[in-house]
Amino acid sequence: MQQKIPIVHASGVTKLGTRHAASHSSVSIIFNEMTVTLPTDQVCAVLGRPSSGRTTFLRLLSGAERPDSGTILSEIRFSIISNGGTFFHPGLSGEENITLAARLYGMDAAMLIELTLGLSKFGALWQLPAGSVPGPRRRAMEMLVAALLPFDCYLVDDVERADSDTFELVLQILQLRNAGMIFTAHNPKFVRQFATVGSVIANHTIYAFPSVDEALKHYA
Amino acid sequence: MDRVLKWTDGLRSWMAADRLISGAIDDLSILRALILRNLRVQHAGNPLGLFVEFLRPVVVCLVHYFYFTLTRRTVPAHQYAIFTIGGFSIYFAFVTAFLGTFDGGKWPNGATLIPGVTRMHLRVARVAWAFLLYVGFAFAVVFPLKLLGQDVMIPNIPLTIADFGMAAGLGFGYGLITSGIGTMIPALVPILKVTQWAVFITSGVYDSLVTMPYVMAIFIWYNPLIHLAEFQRNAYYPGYPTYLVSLTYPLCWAIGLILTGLLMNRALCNRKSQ
Repeated sequence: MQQKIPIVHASGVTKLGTRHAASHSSVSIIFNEMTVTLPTDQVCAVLGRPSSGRTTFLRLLSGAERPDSGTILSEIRFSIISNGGTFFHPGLSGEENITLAARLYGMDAAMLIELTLGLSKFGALWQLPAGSVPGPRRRAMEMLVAALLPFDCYLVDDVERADSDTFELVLQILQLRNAGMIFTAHNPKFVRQFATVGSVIANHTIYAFPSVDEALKHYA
Repeated sequence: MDRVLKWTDGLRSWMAADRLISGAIDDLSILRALILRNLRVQHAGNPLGLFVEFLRPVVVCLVHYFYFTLTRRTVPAHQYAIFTIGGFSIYFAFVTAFLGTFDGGKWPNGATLIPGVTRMHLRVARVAWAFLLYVGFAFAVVFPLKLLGQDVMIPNIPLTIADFGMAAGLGFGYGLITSGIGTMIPALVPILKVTQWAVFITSGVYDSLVTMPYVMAIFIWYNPLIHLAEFQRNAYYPGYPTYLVSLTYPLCWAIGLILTGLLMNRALCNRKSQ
């Protein structure tokens, strides 16, 4: 079987946002002619200040949004964005949402439910409608389900908001299946703790660095 | 050398076909998952479950069956049961597909965050369910009618599938166009929704083209749903007259509406991303 090249390459990507409240303008520039290459088989941190476009970058990678110009090239399959909005239907229970995910990816639903429940600590919460589960718990449940689905690279938004136990468990799962992760953060502490490669969003573009220390130096 | 080039061309076209097939299988599994998700959400906590889906057409058909029988309306061959079921099931397939397309992509509830799932998948899932539900209804309804002593046959299978496919296709195309116009000019949405009633009244659920006054028939003939309703009645009862209607006419409408709707949808998507 042919090996996939474990990188993602954004070439001349421009993305505009609408209605920037602070500047009272109707259009804001999030990324301007951004060109960057990131590894997808490592744990890559994307550092950025609030409203710098971290979530938008992950949405561009996952295909949930398209760039206004430029292209994003990658052979690998990105996951659902964990922690960046709900992918569980609020009217269905956690278990029913797992069943949907299993059907979509051709997996055995009973096996996936058993695996998820066995690994998690949320017990009876899986039987409740997702809409009635408190936000942080639901995000943790979603992150765990996403980690058990067959993707090549996992996207996690705002790692500071993630449940730390679940995040560490997810990292272990990814290590076992040789998958990578791209996560966004604004706190250097988490980047130093988890990332192996770093990049920084600044001036409407992303700068990639070969090491976390260099990224942190640039971010400071 | 030529042989090698031919072989590589063959391999390339085979690989393209393979990609197309695996893409279609992926799309079908997405549609299946979304249909089942919609059903679970709609019937969560309902002890009757999926049976509720059949209740609406059953109740409407029963009420109209008694209405037609009591008023002794002139319908060809006096087959009130097939007259009612043929007309209403086609209209319901159309309107369910129309509303599914119109509303289907509005509340994705996280589904579009899942890689590979788009708003169009959500819409097509609703349309596919409309088709499956009413084809199922058209066949299932025969058995209780037989138990009640009605002279009803199992409908012609290819004709029934073609009829409901076209009804769902008309609803899909009309829904895409209506939601496209609604996105461009939101003030027009209530007016566009009212057109649904005009389509209902002229869809042949109350009258047959053969027996209605000529002055009415020459106008109502232009509604593609009446053609499908008449053919569906013919699928139940081969003696039912269909010489005034044609399957080509609704087929052309369905293709035209779907193509226009898809082009409109693409233009709106491009405009949004600019």
